[in-house]
Amino acid sequence: MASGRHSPRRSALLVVGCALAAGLRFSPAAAQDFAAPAAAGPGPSALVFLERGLPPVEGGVRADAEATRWFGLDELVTRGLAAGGSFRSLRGALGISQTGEAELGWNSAGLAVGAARPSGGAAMRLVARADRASSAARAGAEAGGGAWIEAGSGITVWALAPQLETWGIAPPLRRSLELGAAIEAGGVRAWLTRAAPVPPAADAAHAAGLGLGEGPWWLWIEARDRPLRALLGVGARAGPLSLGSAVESHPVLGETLRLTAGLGREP
Amino acid sequence: MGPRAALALVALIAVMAMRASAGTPEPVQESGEPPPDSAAEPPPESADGVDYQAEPADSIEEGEFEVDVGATGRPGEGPRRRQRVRFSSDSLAGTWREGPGDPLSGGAIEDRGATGAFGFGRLAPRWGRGLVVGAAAEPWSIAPVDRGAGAAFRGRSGEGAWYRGGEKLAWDAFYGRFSRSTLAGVQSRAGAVGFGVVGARSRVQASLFTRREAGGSELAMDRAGRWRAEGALERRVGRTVLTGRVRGGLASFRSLAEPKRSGPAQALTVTSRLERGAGSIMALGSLWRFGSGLTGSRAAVEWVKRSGPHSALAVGLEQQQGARREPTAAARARPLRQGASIEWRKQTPALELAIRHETWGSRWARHSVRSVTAARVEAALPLGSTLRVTCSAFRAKSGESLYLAERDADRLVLRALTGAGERVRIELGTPLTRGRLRAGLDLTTSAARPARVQWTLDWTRRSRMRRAR
Repeated sequence: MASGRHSPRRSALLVVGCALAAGLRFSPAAAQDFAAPAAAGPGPSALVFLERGLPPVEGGVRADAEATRWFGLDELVTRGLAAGGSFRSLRGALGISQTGEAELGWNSAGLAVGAARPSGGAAMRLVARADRASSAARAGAEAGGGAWIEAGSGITVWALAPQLETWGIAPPLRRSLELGAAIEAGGVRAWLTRAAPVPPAADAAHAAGLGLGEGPWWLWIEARDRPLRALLGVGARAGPLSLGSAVESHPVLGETLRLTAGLGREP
Repeated sequence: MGPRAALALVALIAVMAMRASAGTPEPVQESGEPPPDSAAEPPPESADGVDYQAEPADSIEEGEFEVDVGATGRPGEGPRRRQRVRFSSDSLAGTWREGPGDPLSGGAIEDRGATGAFGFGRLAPRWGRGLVVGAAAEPWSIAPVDRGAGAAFRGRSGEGAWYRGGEKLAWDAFYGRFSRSTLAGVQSRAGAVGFGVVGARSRVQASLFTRREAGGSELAMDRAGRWRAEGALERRVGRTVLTGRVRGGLASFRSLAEPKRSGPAQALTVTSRLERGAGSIMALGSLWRFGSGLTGSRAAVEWVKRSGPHSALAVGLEQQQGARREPTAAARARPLRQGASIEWRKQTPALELAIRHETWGSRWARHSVRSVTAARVEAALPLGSTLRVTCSAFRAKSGESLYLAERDADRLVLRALTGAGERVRIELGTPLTRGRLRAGLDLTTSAARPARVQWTLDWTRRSRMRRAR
C-alpha cells in the first residue's frame, strides 16, 4: 500500500494497514479512493462505478458522497464525492476524494466512462492522485476497467481489472484481476468474488456475501479470507435519497467504517 | 497414484469400447484431440521456455486473394515489418509470408492439375499413424493438430517439394530438408493400404499402413530392424464416441524426418466423448513409456454445458505425471500434478465476456505450483469497430513452465511466462479501405522483470480475383 510513497508518517499509518498486511500475507480492503459501502458487483452508486469500473444498468443522474475511516485510525479518513449520469446506454461518472491529513494525505480525481444495457455493460476508469503536501507534491494515476454480463435470469458475472496500467507514484493498494458472480432472487442476493494475487502474495483473495432486501431496507454480510473476517452493511432508501453504512472487522488491522449518502436514480 | 488413476480410466473406457464394438460399428470422423488441453505447451521440437508460434490452417475460398501487412515492435526498438499473401484459384493456391525474425516466414505453393498436384515450400506430410512421417506432438495424442491434410494448424516439419498423383493407385513423393537432413520419401496407396519408404543416404525407414475413415494402423521399421507399430480405432455407440490407440515397439526407433517427435515407444490412450443435448463429457486416459523408467500418464475429464450458441461453461479435472517429451537433459520428468479449470463465456450482440481460471498443483491442486486467472472482454463499437481487452494474472513457481495461448490476427502464440505477474492485451479492430486494421498493445508486468511492452499493427484485405475473358 505504501510502496512508492516515502512519507514517514504515511508509512507509520499505513504500515499498520497494508504494508503490514502484505508482509503478513494479509489481504487488506480492496477498495480505496471511492470506497462506498455496497455489495459486490455493479451498483447504481457513482462511487461504485468509479471504484470498480462496472457501469450501472440504471440510467439517470445521481450524486454520492462517502466517508471511510480506515482501520479505526482518525488520521486515515477518506472523503469522496461523485456524480454520475447517462445518455441512452452511455454511462459516465466523475468524482474527487481526499484521504489522510493535510501534510500526509493525498487527493484523487476519478473518471469512468462506459456503456450498459440490461444484458451487460463495460467501462473504463481513470484515477489520478497527488500528494496534498505542496512540499512533496508527487502524482500518479491508474487506468483500468470492468465488464459485467447477465449470465441468466438474476445471475450476473463480472470481471474487473482496475489497474491495467499505473503511472507515477504507486497506488495505495495494488489491485489485480477480480472475477465475481452474483445471483438474485426474491429479494435475496448472494455473491462470490475472487481477486487474483498481487505479487509477492501467492494466494488469491476470496469473498462471499449474502444480502437481504425488505422494502426500503437492504442488509448484507460478507466474509473475506486472508485472514478470515466479516463485513456487515446496511442501507436504506427513501425516494431519491439513499443511505448506507458498512463495518468491516479485521482481526489485526482493526475496524473500517464506511458511510455513504446518495441522491438520484433508483436501483 | 497417477498411473493407477490413468489405468483405471483406460480400463473403464476400454470396457465401454468392447461393449460398444459388440454392436454395429458406425465409423465417424477421426476426432483429433481429446479434451482441450488446459496446459497447452509447444511441440517437442521447439525450445522449452520460449514463445512458440503456429499458423492456423484456415483456408480462403477459390478465386480469393488476401494481403496482410503489419509490423510489430517494442519501445526502443525499430518496427519489424511482416507481410503475407494468400491466394487460391481453380488450379493454383498458395500462401507466403516474410518478415525479419518472423518464425512463420516462408510458405507453400500448390499447383493442381488433371494428372496430379505438386507443390514446394513448407512440408508437413503424414503417413498412416505418423510413426515415420507426421507424428503427433504429445504422447497421449491420437492425431496431430499440425501434420497432414485437414490439420488445424499448418505444420512445418520440413522444406522442399512434393508431388501427388494417381487415382486407383495413388502415390506421392517428397524431397526436402527435415531436421538438418535431406530426405526423400515416396509412398503408394491402393485402397486403404499403403506402403512408403523414406531415405537419407544410407538410412532408410519403411512404413506399411492402413488408413480407414476412423483410425488405422502402421508398422514402421528401419534397416537395423528397429520397429514400431501403432493402431487406432474409433467407434460410436449411441451418442458416445470411443477412441483407442495402442503403440508398441523399440525405444531405439527414431523417425528420420522428425526425431524429436518420435514419441514414446509404448503408449495406450483411450478417449470417450458423450454428447447429450447441449452438454458433453469428454474423458481421456493415457499411459506411455519412452524407455526404461521413463514413463508418464495422463487422466482428464471435462464437462461442457452450452446455453445457446453464445454461452458455455466448461469444467475440467486432470492429472499428469512423468515425462511428456523425449527425455533430454532439459526435459525433466514431472512429479504428480493435478489440475482443475473452469471456463465460462457469454456473448451478447454488443458485448462478450469470457473468464477462465486454472490451477495446477499437488494433492489435488491444494499446493498450487501454477495458476492462471484470465478475463476477456470484447465490445462492439460504432462503425464496425471492436475493442477487446484481455487480462491474465499468472503465477508459476520456479521450475514450472507456463504458456499462455494467445490468438493474433494470423497466428496462435504460446507465450512463455515465468514467475508471477499480469499480462494485458488491448486490441482494436476497425474497417479501413475495404480491409480491416488491427492494432494491439501487450503489456506484461511481473515481479521478477521490468514491464515489457509490445505493439502490433496489422492490415488485412481479402478480395476476389477477376477471371480473364
